[in-house]
Amino acid sequence: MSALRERLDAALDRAHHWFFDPVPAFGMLICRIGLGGVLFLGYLTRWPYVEDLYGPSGFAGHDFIKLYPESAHAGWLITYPFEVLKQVPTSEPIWALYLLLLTASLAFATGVRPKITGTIALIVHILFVARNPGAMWGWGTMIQPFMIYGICAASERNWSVGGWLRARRARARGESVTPTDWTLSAWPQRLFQIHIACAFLVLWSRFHEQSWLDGQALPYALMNRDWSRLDFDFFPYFPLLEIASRIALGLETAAPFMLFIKPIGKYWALALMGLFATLVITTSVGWWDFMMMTVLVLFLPPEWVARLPWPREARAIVSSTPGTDDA
Amino acid sequence: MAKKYILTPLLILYAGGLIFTATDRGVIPGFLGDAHLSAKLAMHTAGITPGMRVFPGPRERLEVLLIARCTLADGIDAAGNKTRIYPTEPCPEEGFTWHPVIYDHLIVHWMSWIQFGDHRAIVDALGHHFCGQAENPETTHVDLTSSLALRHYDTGESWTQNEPLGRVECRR
Repeated sequence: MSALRERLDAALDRAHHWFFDPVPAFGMLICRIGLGGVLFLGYLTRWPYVEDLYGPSGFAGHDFIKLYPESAHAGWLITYPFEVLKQVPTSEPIWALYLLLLTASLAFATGVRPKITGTIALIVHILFVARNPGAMWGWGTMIQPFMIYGICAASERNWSVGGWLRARRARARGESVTPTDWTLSAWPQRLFQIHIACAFLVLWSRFHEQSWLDGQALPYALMNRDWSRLDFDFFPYFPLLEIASRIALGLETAAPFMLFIKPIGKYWALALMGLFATLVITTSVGWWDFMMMTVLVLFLPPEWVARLPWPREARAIVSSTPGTDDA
Repeated sequence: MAKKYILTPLLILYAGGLIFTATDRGVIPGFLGDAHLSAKLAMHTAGITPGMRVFPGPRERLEVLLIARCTLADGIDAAGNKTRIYPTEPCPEEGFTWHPVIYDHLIVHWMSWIQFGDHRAIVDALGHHFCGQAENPETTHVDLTSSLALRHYDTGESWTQNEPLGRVECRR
């Protein structure tokens, strides 16, 4: 009995270290900038269509519901909670929230009070997703938990406009500025990594889809103008694309395991980034691929990420931080 | 101590919940099915989606490829006259000449949602939208049609198929 208890305690000890030992902050910093940037640009490009997408006269808005009460729910697969914006009868609050979301997401990306601004951006974004879930191609839903991890790890210490302004003011007053800590507790990064693996685990449903097993799904996506970005006839290249489709299926469905195997994980993450980069060029599914390329950086070794133009003291922590080799 | 004996188990529990809800219902034991659905619903309500299925491919092997989907909206007045509201250019049979802008793209996207959701409600919302776009103020109804450019997977033969989506009353 005591042997079992000892084993459990040792396992808990390992888990405790995995979750709470400090890790270099690079990956989560890139995620903060990337996720904030995706939210900002995702909504900025919707500027001309705010009334159509979210306004009271827009798609399934307040005025529509008044005229067509039998169609109060626009028929999405899931009933989204927080559908409060459907009850707003005028445009002004919608525009105010839209501008608040733009400001908050930009502030989060640039590190101005990132915990507060990230939380505001996330809450308003959830309201907009619930108002019109069909306007986002799925990335709008998937970014919500990713933002939660980003907010948990966010700090004004690193790569932050807010932190830079504060340090500048302190120097102007002749006060000493505390050296920046370029590490953070690992738990938000660990939960983020597990969640990314789960996002790929969901794709195991493809094993029930004959079109995926036959390698047809990717060529179908490339040829279908609902998704395809290129004006190109892919039909003569179907046999090649069927091979690419099977490679994509293998890459994505094996990711939940491969990303965590030390010698392979980093190359697997790079291959997945390449896959998403190819999809950016060939398909149009909103900001999904940009978001995934950003978050996969969490599986790259810190010494690779440290080659980016970080301050010298930031790069120095790669060699001095325990746990930098187990990303 | 609190981190090790309280927070670490809580984090493990959360991670376990994520993995549990990310698995397909078919791969977990039957008696966990209801718990699986409840956990998924609870997570979704909290804004936490385990993952998404991008490019939801058809379950069966494809015989026919959908190359392009064009939504036609025709306004009908009291005298029964038909006027094309959308698109302003003719639908292409094969070419890639529409939805260059996000707005048209989203209309195409909404139409593709019809296959997943409540057909009537989405058709009503789109019809209402096009009622507002009609130049003729006497427009009483809008007819929505999906014009599908198709190609046979093995033979490469192409054709266009029109599918009526429904008629929507213009309520003002």
